[in-house]
Amino acid sequence: MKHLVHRLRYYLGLLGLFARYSLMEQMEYRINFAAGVAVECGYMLIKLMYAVLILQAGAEINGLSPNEMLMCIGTYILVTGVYMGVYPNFWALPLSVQDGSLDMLLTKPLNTQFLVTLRRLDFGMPLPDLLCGLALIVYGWQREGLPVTFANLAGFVVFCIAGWFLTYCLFLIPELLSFWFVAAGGAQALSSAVFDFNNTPMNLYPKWLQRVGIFLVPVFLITNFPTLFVMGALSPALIAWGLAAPWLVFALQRLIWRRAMRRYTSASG
Amino acid sequence: MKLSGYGYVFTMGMQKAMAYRADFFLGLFSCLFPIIMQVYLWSALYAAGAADANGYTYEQMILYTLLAGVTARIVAAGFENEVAGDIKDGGLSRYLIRPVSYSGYCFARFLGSKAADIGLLLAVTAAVLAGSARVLGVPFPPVRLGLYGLSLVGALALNFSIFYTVALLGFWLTEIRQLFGTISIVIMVVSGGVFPLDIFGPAAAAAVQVLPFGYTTQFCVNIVNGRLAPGQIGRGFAVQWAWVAGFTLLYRLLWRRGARRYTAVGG
Amino acid sequence: MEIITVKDLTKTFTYSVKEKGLRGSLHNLFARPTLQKTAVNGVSFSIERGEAVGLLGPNGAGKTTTLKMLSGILYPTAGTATVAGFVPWERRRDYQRRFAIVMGQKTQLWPDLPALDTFELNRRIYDLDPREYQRTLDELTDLLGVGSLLQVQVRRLSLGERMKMELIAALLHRPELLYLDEPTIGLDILSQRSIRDFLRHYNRQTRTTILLTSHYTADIEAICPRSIIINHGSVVFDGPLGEVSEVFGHKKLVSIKAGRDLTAGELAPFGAVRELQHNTALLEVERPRLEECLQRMFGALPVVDLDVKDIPIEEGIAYFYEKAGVSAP
Repeated sequence: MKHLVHRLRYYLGLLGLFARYSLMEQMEYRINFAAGVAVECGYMLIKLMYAVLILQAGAEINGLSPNEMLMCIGTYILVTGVYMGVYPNFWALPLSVQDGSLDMLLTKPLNTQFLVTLRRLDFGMPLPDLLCGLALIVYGWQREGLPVTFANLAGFVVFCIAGWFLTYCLFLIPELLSFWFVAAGGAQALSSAVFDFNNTPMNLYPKWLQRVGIFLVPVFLITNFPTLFVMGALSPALIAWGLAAPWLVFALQRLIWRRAMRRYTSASG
Repeated sequence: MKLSGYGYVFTMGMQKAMAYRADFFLGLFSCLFPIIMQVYLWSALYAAGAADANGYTYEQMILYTLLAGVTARIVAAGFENEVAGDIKDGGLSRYLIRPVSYSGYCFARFLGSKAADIGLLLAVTAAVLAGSARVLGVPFPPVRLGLYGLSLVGALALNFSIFYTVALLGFWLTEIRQLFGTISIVIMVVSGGVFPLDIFGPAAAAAVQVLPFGYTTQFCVNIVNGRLAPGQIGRGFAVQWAWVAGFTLLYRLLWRRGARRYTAVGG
Repeated sequence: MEIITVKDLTKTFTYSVKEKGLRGSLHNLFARPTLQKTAVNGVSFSIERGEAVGLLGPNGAGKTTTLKMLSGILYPTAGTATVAGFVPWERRRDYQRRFAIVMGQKTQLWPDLPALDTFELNRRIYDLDPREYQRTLDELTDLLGVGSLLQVQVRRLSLGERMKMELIAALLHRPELLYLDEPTIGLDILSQRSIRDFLRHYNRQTRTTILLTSHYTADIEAICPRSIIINHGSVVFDGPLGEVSEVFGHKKLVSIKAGRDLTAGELAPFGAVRELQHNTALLEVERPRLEECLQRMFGALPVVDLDVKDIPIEEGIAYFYEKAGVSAP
């Protein structure tokens, strides 16, 4: 237990330091910072277009009111926004394989994945998504008159965190393919294409597709589960699955990570 | 560089694209998903009695979704990473000291890397059109198909010049490559590559007519879709090429300034 | 006591080749032929604690690959290595705390921040006691004379200063073992010399084991009493670098300057003529014949100046570089 606390403090301390250094770096390049925010705003507007379409339709679709669908879209924007905070690491991973800068990181006495995926934190890009996502959630929640209880809030937050964790794992996996293939662009395109299903709540999709997105490739958990939980629309079994799935995906991702590292250490020149 | 030189670069680009085989198939496969998503989205919205969608019927919307998905893929860029990489890592020096036009080189490579894709995607387009002609019960007039093909030429040129311009911003931004993923999605959507933008009301429709982006996708698709009168098509071609000229001037300016900055900083 | 024991270490890389032309590309779409390249081929050596050993070899000889395997970055294809009781490629944290690697071409410093920030990060990563860390840092900055540069952004430092910072970053946790891959590459002569001096001093002072690759013989001569030459992936020489030209031990070089222009014909009886320019010449003479040769030369030629030298180290090294991968003579 004491060991665990020490480990936790060790890694949290490092995370804090990464955050400080990244912020210092970003303050060096203010135009970059602004460009990042601007581009992310554009992306956020794109995601908002779906909200507009749903509001224009103004009808309940397969059991979800427009307000609840807004909450789903808000959740998606929020969670992907926070993901953008670690995105620079993911983006740089294939490059660091190519130019060998991964070498130095591999020799450090700490969890390599922690170092490789959380070293650079971006504070600009998540900003617009964070604000907009929160606004949509609050707006939809309040307009729908869903009860604001501690249990609801806690459940919502927990499922959002689970969603972030899923996002982290599901986007890391295709980047890891760059250890095997020189060009992993196709895999990345595939993962973001699958991810794009989150642009709208899953109630728009047929049952079979919903099941695939919940159980097989659990991307729908990200956008839908926080809202469905607050609506009381999740069965205990689904709640359990929603909490277990991120860990399963994490386990899979760790497996691929280890293989990728093994591959790197045995193949690279 | 002589024309045959650019031809060589074209072939190299094509070879490179094929060498990345897994990538090639995955990329093709992945453009299916957004289309599936859109189809379900519109089915649900129309079923809910939702969108009057600015006069698009359900069939027209689905046809739009399919065609736009393929068209966006036909005109998609993808060379911007290399341009920004050349700027960042100093690889640009290779071209600055040679009697080559860097933009010409990039354009040849861009077309080369697409050649195989375009062939396949045009086949897909033909299949989509044949299928929808049967569903809709009316064949598409060959003139419109011809004009669509013609509009693709301008769309390719325009999308190249837009992305080339964006890539040249790498002279001023230290790590622009990181943003390209998002930038290309945003540009694709504002080009009408996902849904027609005129469904967002008259203001959006007017903006699409003025801004360059729609002329890389939405304009082309709407020629086939039959939503444009002959006069509008003619005007569209004019605006399309005007924007090609505009962006060409813009990137030339950026290039001149950027190259000066590049040599001044020393790469 | 041995700290590094390497036995039959082998590393083979597989890479794919693309056939030429468009047809080749099409073919490649479905099947890609692969080739194998052996970078390190059955290398064996051992190093005592506190030694400083130079690793030499022509480009592509497998020096860097060997260092990477010893630091756990690469997994070997065959063979074994034990370093400080660990198998490097198991990448155990306890092992990683015991060594450091500095590569001249790669950096661990954050370019946009002062080096001090990277040092602080390493303090946290290696979980160092703050006071001990401060002491080490003061000592190292003092030795390298970079105390005033700690607060300067790394990208504003000169290459030499940057390498000094890399060394500090690597040594903060007081590793028992330091791997250096071309630490002086691209540096000016003064920086090269100060880094050389530092490494020699540090090795003697702290008994930190050093394994170093370099293309500069001067680096190796200054720092390493012992050198290993690898060629074609195998060890071809192991010993003090000064002895590398002992393969030519039976030969001496005689350079002469005469009062008039010389001809190749009149020099030939004394030894093999290496260079001849007007009134100066360089001859290669068999050692047993040296004395007799010199006496005859003074008699036959108007010698103004004469110098007898050993075959230079570089030639010994070149000999081993050109030699196919067989064991040392």
